[in-house]
Amino acid sequence: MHARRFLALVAILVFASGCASTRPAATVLASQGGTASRTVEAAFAQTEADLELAVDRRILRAALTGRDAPSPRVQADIERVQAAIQARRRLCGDLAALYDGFAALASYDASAEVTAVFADVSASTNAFARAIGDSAVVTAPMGDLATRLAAATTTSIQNGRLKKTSAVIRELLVTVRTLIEREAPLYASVREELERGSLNTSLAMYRSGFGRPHPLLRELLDTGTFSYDERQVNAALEKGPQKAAIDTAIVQIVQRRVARRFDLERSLVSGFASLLAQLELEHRAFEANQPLDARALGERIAAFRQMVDLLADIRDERVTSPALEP
Amino acid sequence: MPRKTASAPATHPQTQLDVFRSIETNYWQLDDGFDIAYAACKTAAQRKQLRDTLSAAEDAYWAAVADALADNSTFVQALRDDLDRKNADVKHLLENLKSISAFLTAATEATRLAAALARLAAV
Repeated sequence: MHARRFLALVAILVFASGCASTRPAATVLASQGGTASRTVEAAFAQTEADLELAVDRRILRAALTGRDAPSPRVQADIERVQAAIQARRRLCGDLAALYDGFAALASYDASAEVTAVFADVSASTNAFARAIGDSAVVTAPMGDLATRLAAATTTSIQNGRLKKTSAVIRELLVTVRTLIEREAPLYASVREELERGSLNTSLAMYRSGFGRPHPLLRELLDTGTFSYDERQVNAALEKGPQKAAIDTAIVQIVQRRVARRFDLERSLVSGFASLLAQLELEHRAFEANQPLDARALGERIAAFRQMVDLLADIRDERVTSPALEP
Repeated sequence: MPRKTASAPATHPQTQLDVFRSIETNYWQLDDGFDIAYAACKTAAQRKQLRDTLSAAEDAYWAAVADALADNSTFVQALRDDLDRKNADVKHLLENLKSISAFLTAATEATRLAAALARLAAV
């Protein structure tokens, strides 16, 4: 009989210890899923913001180069594209909110709560047993066992809900990823078009005398050996004997740099889907009680975040660049 | 009535992507070559024709992008509605987990089991 009781206790302990790793794993998954969703959301937000400037850039470029200003139809279509990108940005925000809910479900310590509640509801396990109509006398060790069983049962309920929620999120991830994969060529094209618009407007402005390429030239000059003199550079650009050759070189350098940004933009867009695919794998592992490859996902998120930040930095530099100041 | 769940949109045939690529290439080539072609135009009519051609290419490009993304707008909205519902479900799961009745159910079951074990031990 003692052996049977011992076995029952061991079974409970094994059950409880098996369940113990579910919540921490769910917390990690929820955190990484939330970060991944918000990073993709940030990338869409950047496109949305860039589209805001697209028409203005076209209007100015038209004035400087002889092109027609964007037609009302183009303007309306750009607004439609912006609305579509906004919807996808919000979709990623909704996904991040779902991960927040998953995180809340994971971080809540139901087991500890139920132990406390169990103690509050019944001063002793016997009193509670009597209250529910069971006349058996429960000894103190059995009372402790009952509390642990209650905690284990609640943990089991919580773990079941975490896995069910994980499966729901995973199915949604598949749908979102399918959409993103299908539309990826469009996102990449729009991003490239926005970069082209920005570059070409900047070059048109430069050629019209709106700015000076000081940041670029300063970067190329070994300032440890030579000092940079803006007035001297302005003179060389305006009336120096190599004025035309310098202009051509500057255009070439800017175009080369933009081509590198196109590559980065394309990697970013293809990164959306692979990030979500990695998340799907992690959900599957979690649901199957397999260890998560949190490092692989973390590295992918970090690399993706780096690309988003790098592109944002390039844009910020461009926005604050004195090269476009009159 | 069962809830309508968003399902993935059908994949566009490759030809549609090819058509889009042609529109894109046409627009970008015309745009890239505009300045040189514009300088080479000898008459106002030629310049107007060049501007009109580029405008038409630009119109076609943005219309193609907007139409392709709009094709999925109903799907995206359905997916967002689905996400909202799922989010509410998850919140409900947590609230339910926090509710005293859920705890009491668990506690009652545990106590019954403990009492049963006590009876077994007494045999």
